[in-house]
Amino acid sequence: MASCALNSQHLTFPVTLRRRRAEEKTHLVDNIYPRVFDAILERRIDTDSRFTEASLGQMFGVNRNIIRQVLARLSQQQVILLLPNHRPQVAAPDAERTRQTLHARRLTESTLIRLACQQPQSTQLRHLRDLVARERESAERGLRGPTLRLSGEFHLLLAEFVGNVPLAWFLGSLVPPISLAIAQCEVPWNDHDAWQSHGAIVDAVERRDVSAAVRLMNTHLDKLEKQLFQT
Amino acid sequence: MITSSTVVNSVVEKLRAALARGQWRSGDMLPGQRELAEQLGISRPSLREAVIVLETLGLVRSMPGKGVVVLEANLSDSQSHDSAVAGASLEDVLQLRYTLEPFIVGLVAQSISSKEVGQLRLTLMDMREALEANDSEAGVNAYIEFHEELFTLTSNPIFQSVVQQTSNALKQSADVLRNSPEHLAERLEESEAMVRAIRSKNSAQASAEMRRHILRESQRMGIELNIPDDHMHN
Repeated sequence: MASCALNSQHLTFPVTLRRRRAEEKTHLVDNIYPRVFDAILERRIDTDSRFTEASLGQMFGVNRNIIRQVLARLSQQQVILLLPNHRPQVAAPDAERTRQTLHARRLTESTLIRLACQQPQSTQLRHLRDLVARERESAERGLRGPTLRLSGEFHLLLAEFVGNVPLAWFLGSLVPPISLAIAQCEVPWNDHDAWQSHGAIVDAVERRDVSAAVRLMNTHLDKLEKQLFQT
Repeated sequence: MITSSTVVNSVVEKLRAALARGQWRSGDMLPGQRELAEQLGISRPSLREAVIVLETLGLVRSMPGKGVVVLEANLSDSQSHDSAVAGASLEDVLQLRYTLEPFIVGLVAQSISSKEVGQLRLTLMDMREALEANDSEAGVNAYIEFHEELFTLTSNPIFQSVVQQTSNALKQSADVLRNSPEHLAERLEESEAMVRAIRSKNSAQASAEMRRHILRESQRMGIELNIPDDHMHN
């Protein structure tokens, strides 16, 4: 019996330690990811930038393992292209690709916003409002990268709350490339009021006002499209 | 150019399996087009189409003038994509289908060639034969094949990966489909209505038929699909 207890102690200690290390690592990745994405959205890291895992690691003060995971996440989001034996590269979606992405996004968001209005939870609404407040703050401070990124995160958070995993997953590959396309837009981008549309959308969701929520979402996406294609 | 989507799909599956097995490692170049097409016993146009699908799925990348390189990070991505749907409920998948498929079918109706329509009709004939022979296994296979063929025809590559997902989900629920052979006749009837609309290039009608089909499908599975009201009119 005693040896059993000793054994289990031997076993649990390194396991908890390992788990704690894994948690710290995830935490670090979560912290570095927005900083790298912001740098891309502000075009401090651009399509023609030459960088490696090591140089990015140095730039952001973390090891290559962390950077590798951040890049993997960005590649899943269609923001970074990862080619074996090549340096990572910032994606440059062309107009056709962006148009198709936006189209797919409209369809997906149109279902999601309707579902979101069905049973909004108060904690979810609070999270969304917190996010809108952060969007507003970065817009007012003129922080272009964070403003664009948080604006995309709003849509992904809304999708997450709906609870349809495949739909949210699909949207996850559609929103970041649009943020990237906006960042790479030649024309000056006016994104200072996205938080206002988002705030209005949260209000409509809270009232369970489907038609208003849908209308606001459509107007919001129309505006995105207009800016992207100058139509 | 004859492009049989059945051939393309089976090549995609073969290549995917080979990549998953580790026949090629990340960073490897796939064999040249001619060699690979010979190995797989298919035409080069079909191979090129299969590579486009794999590229959209993020498994490989074409490097102009160099060949096709196997990717690493995206291989694990595609596994997590699979699990996004594998872990999802039938209702979630039906909702995803209801959101995207009517629209995709509408797109297909706009751009389909008569040869491609012919291919779809052939698959429906397989389904009818299976029905008449009381072969539910063959019937379900033809139904899944019809679904895959239909969506390989979409001109928007963004949808390719998600279509692959719903196809996988369909395969996972093949047992449910097989256990209800009495539904095969309805599935066939609905699919035929869809192809009639596609054939006459009636986009709106094709979308409506797909919507009806998915609603019926969920009823057959005993799932009450949560569809927000005014969605029907879009």
